[in-house]
Amino acid sequence: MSARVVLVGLGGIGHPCALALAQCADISLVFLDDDRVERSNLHRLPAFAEQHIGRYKAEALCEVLAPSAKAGLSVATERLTPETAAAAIAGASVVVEGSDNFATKFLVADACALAAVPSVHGAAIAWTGTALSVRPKQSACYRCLFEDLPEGESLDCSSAGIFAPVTALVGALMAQATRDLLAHKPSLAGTITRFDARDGSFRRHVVRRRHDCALCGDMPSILSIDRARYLAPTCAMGASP
Amino acid sequence: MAISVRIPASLRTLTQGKEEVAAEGATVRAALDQLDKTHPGIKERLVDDKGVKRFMNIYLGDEDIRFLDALDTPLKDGDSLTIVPAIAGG
Ligand SMILES: [Zn+2]
Repeated sequence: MSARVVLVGLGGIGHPCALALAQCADISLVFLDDDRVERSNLHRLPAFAEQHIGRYKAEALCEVLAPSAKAGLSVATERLTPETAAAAIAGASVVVEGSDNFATKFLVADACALAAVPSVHGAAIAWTGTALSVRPKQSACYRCLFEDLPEGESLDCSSAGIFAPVTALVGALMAQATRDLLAHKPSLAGTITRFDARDGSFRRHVVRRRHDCALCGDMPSILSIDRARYLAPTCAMGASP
Repeated sequence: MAISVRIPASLRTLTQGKEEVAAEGATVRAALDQLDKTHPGIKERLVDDKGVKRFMNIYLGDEDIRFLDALDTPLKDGDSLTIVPAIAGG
């Protein structure tokens, strides 16, 4: 049976990650995104063109990749919510999270930890991109790194914009991290990789498990998915930096 | 102690676009206090009354200061602090 890989978010980082993973014959990919293609994101969605504007990203990507894909492809165009998260990731071997908002990032992190599903988290802003892979109970989790959603401000993401090639690079890092998790390699799980396009630097920080982590610590307080935990400002990405 | 601090993209509006700035202090706390004098407003983006903000990380070299002595972590000349905020976007 092929490994089931669920991609949550098919924007600038999920898209290139999907392009890479679609060439893997040993997996079946699920594209989960309720967003539609807009003209303003075409520059970081290289498989799309004019005719895809207005279409669901998940459906359009499946259609574009199907003729050459070696992986099995399927599509879900609903939004990941606290109510649907558990079912959406059920049976997954790895969940790849490349969403553009903190609420979804923490929701995926929590749902994966509770279901003991490995996950890969990517993000990009301005000239910087990060990738973190998580092996539940073995490596640090997303909440060991960032305890909770930012309150109030959204760290200038909407004004900072994004340098499109950084998103492609983060997508590549996430695809490789997914392969490593699937192969049970002594991977970079629990290590955050950061790329800065301004000086071309890669930096890695080992994230240690925190004993007081609310999700994976000794006395976890997050034992189920509670909607109230994911109410936070979303972060839309706009122009180039 | 003269140290350097790497500033993430989301905070560079407070450092006139600079990726790296100099600071002085015997501890991380002292260095952030001094940094806040040269770049007003930066400290409140990084710490609150409980310590390093929950969606921020400060690394001394490769180590999260939470696993050292947090804000009381001692610094020596030439040390490098890196600020890593949670980021969304893609
Ligand atoms: Zn944790």
